Amino acid sequence: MSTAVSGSTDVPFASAPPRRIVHRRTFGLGLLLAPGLLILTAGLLWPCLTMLQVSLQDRFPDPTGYTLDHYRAVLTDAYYLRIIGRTFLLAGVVTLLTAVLGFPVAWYLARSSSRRKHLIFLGIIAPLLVSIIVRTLGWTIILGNEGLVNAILRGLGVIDEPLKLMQGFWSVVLGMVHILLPFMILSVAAVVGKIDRSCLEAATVLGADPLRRFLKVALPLSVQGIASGSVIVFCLTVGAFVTPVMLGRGQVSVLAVTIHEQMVVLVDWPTGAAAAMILTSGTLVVLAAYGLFLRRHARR
Amino acid sequence: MMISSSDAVGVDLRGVRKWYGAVPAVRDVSLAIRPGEIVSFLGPSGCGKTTTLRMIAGLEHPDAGEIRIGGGLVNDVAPWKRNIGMVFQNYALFPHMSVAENVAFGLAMRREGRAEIDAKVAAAMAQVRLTPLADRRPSQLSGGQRQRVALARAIVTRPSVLLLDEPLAALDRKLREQMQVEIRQLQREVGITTVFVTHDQEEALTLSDRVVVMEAGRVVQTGTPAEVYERPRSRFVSDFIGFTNAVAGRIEAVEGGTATVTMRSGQTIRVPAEAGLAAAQAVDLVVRPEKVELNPPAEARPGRALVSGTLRHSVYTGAVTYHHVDIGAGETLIAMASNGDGHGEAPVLGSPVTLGFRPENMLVFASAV
Ligand SMILES: Nc1ncnc2c1ncn2[C@@H]1O[C@H](COP(=O)(O)OP(=O)(O)OP(=O)(O)O)[C@@H](O)[C@H]1O
Ligand SMILES: [Mg+2]
Repeated sequence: MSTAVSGSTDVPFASAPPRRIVHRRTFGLGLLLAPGLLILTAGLLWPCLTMLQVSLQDRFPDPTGYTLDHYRAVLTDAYYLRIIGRTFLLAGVVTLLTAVLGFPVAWYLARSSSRRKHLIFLGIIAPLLVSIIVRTLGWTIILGNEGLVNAILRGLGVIDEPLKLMQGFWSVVLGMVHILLPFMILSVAAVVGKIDRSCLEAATVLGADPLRRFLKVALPLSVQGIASGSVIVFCLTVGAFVTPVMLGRGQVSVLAVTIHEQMVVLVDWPTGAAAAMILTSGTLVVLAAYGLFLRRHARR
Repeated sequence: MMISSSDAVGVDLRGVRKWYGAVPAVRDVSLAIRPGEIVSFLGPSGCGKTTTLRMIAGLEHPDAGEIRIGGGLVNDVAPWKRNIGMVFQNYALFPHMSVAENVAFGLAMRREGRAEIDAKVAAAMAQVRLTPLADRRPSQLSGGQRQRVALARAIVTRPSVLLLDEPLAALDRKLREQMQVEIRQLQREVGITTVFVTHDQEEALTLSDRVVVMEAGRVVQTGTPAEVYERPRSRFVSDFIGFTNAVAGRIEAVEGGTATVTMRSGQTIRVPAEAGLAAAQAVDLVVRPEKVELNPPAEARPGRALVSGTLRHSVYTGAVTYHHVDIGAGETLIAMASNGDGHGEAPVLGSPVTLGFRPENMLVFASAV
């Protein structure tokens, strides 16, 4: 190491700024953060704590004591367990698909100099302006028994009876992917756009063919974007309500729907609250595991 | 780590062209770079240096012409198969890898064994004195350290050609000079054919076996540093490399290889005539300040061409002093005097002086008009 270089890291800002200024700065910062934190606390923490409390009460309303029975009930009920499994499977599949489908679009959006990319950007943003219900209805129109796909296939004489496109897990996946893709694309594009082009070129010159350049350089440098996109998509899918109901035609029960039924239809608040707490903590566990996995693998 | 110079390969460019849409980046470059040679591309911003380098690396595809590396045509060889080492202007280190991982990347791409990679990486890092920094991230390095990582990463794979695109531009002067020496030493040691892009003429002169001067997408002169400095073939080259005096003149007569030129002030000098000059032609007279001697009036060493004038001011810069002499008609010639032998008796400002120079040091170029 050369002596000319080594000096450059330490010296500057040796003395701390005067104390009073530090205080004033912290105060100002607190003032700036307060409204946001207040909304977050009021909107997140308070309902969560209420839910937690309800889930532990033996009756609702008019509790007489606390118990873990509702949790036990949910976690030992095969019906509930299947729904929990399906919910997380749905979220996992949707996240994976949005990542795989969204990455190339995000890459193009962030890195192409083409003028067409503004149109594509518009195409990605526009659906966000239309309500989820309307977009989901759109899919039912396309996929329904009297829908577009069946009409075309029947018109072409390919089929006689309408295909049952509108039921089951995969039509919900399709709808969710469609609705959540913009979030993934925008998250990935924000990070991908900052990748230095010459880094990719350096990999090429050093002997990396396009596949290995993607795996060793482009992908690791995009991980932050894929991660934040995945968190958004996963959380939104886990809590999704409208789309599973409409596209699943009542046959694809997910936890959010079941919780709603438990509380509103069966008026069993404590069990519903326990299920909601399980959903929330399950999501947190999955996200934490995912974060650890990424941290380990982003290194290489 | 050593590559004997017999491994080195030449690079040939023939009639290479590259357009970006309607913009001609490289109009016509033909050049033969010899095995083991270090050549620098020198020229003003936008003259096509980077584009030419990128075509050699395969990052751009030439629209016309041939590129050969070691005799083989590489126009359609993918860049990752060309076995080239390249140092980018911004270093382009992989931010998600440590220094050692950066250096190992090219070897890993060549699917070398773990032990072999480790040994080569260690050797390359020692060569550029980076060993203590192996586990750092590029973001934790200084500019000069990053530059050395980039260099180690480029040479560790034993490329057949090393390309450097203004690798020193971001460094301060002292560090730059130090790195110049290091690059030169490394290049000698490794014996790699090297192309070095710069727009710093001093760097080009100190670092290269040959200098390729480019202007607007073309090669305007190729030669050793001394050749391009002493015998520039055009006004552009003489201006671009080093500091020059230029005054306007008109050729009176050309006879027996000697041209008689009248300057605007009416003074006449006789200089060797380049081919292609004819009587009545408007020309530029160009001479380096260090070739001009400042003398008392009507005094000069034998064999010198003389121009008389008035000393307007003297600029002392330490090792040398520049004397600005008004030679009439608003034109100025600058004479450089070494301060080596004490201080000399600098003439009084405003006093008449005579400038002397060897006629062959006065270059005559047809005026651009
Ligand atoms: N990707 C590109 N698209 C369009 N024009 C380009 C592109 N790259 C370079 N050019 C143009 O090609 C010409 C040559 O560019 P090049 O980068 O080779 O110049 P250079 O000699 O390296 O200049 P500098 O010293 O400023 O780096 C310039 O006019 C430049 O504007
Ligand atoms: Mg350049």
